[in-house]
Amino acid sequence: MTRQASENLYLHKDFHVALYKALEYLESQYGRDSVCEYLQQFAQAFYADLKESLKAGDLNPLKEHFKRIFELEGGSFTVHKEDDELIIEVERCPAVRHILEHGGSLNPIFHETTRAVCESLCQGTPYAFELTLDDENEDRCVQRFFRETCTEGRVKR
Amino acid sequence: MISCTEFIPAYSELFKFLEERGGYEAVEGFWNYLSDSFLGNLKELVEKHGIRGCWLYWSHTLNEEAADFTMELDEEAGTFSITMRLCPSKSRLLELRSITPYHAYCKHCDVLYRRVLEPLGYEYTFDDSEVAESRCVLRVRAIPRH
Repeated sequence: MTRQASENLYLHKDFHVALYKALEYLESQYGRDSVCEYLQQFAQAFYADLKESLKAGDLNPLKEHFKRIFELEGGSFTVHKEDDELIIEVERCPAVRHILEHGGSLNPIFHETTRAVCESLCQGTPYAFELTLDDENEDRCVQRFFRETCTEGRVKR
Repeated sequence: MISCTEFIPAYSELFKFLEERGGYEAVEGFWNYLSDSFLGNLKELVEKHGIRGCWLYWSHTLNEEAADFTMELDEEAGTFSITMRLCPSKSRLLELRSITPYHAYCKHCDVLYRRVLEPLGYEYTFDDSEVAESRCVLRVRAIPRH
């Protein structure tokens, strides 16, 4: 079998399971705080361009980023921007869905891939982040980026 | 959500994070854990189909990862090989401006798959002489039983 890269779409959803197992391992070896620390470190490096946009008060690159990755992975979602606020309503997260389909249950630590990463993006910018999880459906949530006044980012249920 | 298309830089950064805390041994420990917990499908395929199991496993993963490769199987000779002309993981890492790849990133492919295949009676060799150009060669050979 011979293949060129251009013959296939780059989309290997089993990587979600690999990341999930990595976080579980990290939590078991070094504790929950280490998971958040790792994800923050990753976010600061990998999403540096998005962070710079937030520092400049521009939510549009972040909006386009989320639209692109959710569309690519076949998630069910809406993304809308109102004034200085970006809201992502995820009805079916493709990452969580793939993990559930290949392993059964979800360790809540996986939600840090959203919370810790997005909070890290907002640090040092005019924005804060809030994640609202759904008690009934592990693959549903609402993510909100808003201009910070006196409220810190948090996770709500 | 961290997209699955963003996994590889997250993976590389995790290796760095682990090494900062526990040295290279900590990274190897994670690779061993991942091999044991994530590659059950490779193990099952090889146990069931012999060396053809390697073909079945990598046919799925390498196409989804959009690799540039040639894969060869000779069941009669008991050999299997992957010539990776452009590794999608390593090449993507090298293209990133904001992240430097973990210094031994490619070593994980040596550790993970060797750990599965050698106990099943296969010789595994990994030629990493050209990983700086995102190229490598993986060879598996069934060790004759006497």
